Amino acid sequence: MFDPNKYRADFPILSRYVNDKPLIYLDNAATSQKPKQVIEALTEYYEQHNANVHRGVHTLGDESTKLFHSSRQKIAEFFGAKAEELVAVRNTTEAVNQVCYTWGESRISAGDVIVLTELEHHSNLVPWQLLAQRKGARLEFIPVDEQGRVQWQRWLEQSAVLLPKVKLLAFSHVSNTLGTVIPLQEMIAAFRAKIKNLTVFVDGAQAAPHLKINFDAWSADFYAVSAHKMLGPMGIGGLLVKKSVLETLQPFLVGGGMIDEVTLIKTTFAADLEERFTPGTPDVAGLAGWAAACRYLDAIGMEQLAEHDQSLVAYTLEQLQQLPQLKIIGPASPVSESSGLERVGSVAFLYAGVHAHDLGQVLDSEGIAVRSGHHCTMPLHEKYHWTASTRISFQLYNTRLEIDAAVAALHTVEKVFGV
Amino acid sequence: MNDLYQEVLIEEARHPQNFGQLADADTVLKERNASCGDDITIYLKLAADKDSIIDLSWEGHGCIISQAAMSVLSAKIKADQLSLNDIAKLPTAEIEKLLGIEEISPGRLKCLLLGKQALVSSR
Repeated sequence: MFDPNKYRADFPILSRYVNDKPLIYLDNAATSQKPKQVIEALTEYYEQHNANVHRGVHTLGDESTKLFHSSRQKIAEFFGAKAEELVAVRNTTEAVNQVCYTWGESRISAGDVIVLTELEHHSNLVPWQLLAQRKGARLEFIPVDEQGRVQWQRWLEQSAVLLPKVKLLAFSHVSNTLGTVIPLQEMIAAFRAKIKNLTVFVDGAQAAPHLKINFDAWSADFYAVSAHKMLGPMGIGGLLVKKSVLETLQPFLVGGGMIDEVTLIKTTFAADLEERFTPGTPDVAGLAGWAAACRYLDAIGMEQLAEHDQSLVAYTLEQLQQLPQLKIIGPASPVSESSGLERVGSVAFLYAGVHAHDLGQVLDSEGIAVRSGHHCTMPLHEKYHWTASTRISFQLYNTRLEIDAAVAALHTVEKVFGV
Repeated sequence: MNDLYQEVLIEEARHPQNFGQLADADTVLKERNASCGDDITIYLKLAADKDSIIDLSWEGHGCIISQAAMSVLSAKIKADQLSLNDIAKLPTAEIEKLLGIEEISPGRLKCLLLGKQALVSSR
């Protein structure tokens, strides 16, 4: 059985105090904390190897270039992808925009249909809205029921007339608000069976920290991830693109580094995919830090971490269901008999009569960090008239004792606000 | 337990002043906090100069801070006969003082200023 206490000492921030109480960090879906192995990879890069890549012929330049390649290799392997399939970006939002501006600009035209779900993070909604506006295309949304389940089977059955026009399916593997898990392979297979030449984009920002990703074994064309949610540094992320798709795409950003030949009149781009999609100086330290995070997670094993997450989700649901003022939003159980894994990474709820911001503030006074707000899913909150919700989200260092402390603090809310 | 939540503040939000619609309003202003969905709607009856306020009421949904801040702000506007211009110049510290808050945290600043923002955005 996985013991989080064996790893807590690796995370320096977990020993600090907030409002005179030991920090209990339960806002991991927003960003995770970093182990010293990641922090050291960043400082070691700048203290020992800092030099631009692929340019000078000197020792530091060579070390930096090697580190750049080996880090990319490690990260791609972690996700079951090839190094050349990894396009480094700053974050998931940038990844979605990149797909819109490269693939979307050339493949979407008037009358085409883009299929999303109702629970998308704004980052997997707004870029598609603008693309649809530019192209005269249409967005369609797979409904989400009140238990947070995405009704994709029903949607497929009821949307037969639309299907010939569908060009793209874009969805979150795991919902940042409800924790809902999409049965990725099953859903993509069902869509592909009914829609020819379908392209699939998956927002994996919330899945990557908790589930084993097998990009090359899965039938998604694009899969976007962010390092900072999986123990890595902020400001670096990845857009995984199937090699056969990436080969057909024009570069998103053009200029330094990614060229073949430049004259004053015209330019041809590098044939090598990694070069072609690495415009300008890359974030080598960020990649090195992210690779260190992948090694850290690998050493424990994603299967084991997924089990730990499931046990925290189950325990939290159980504890919160004992507070009558609370209404859990999203799947009420981490697994269901019919569809297997249902909820990953987080538990969100509403507290009758108390606003999520006020709740968050009370928890903060106890040193407990949670997320309050609409978690960048305004349409979902509007649909079910949730003003704002509170979300507890997990990482490998979280313990049941911390959940107990959060639940105890929630018991005091009644007293503070007299509800 | 929590310095921020003095009893008067909670009372203010639970029983807000000048709450409700204004039958003869000539101007309706709305503002929303994009990070949590809190909203405030302000009903105004303005003088001919479109700046002086003859009467005001408001409605809203949200956290204790946003609702209590709008409540005390509406009372101050009426008591001191503040115009829209006066409100725009009102320092944040003044609203903090009205609520008995020493210094609002950055995460709650938008909550505190939601009502003021609704009044100012019209200009």
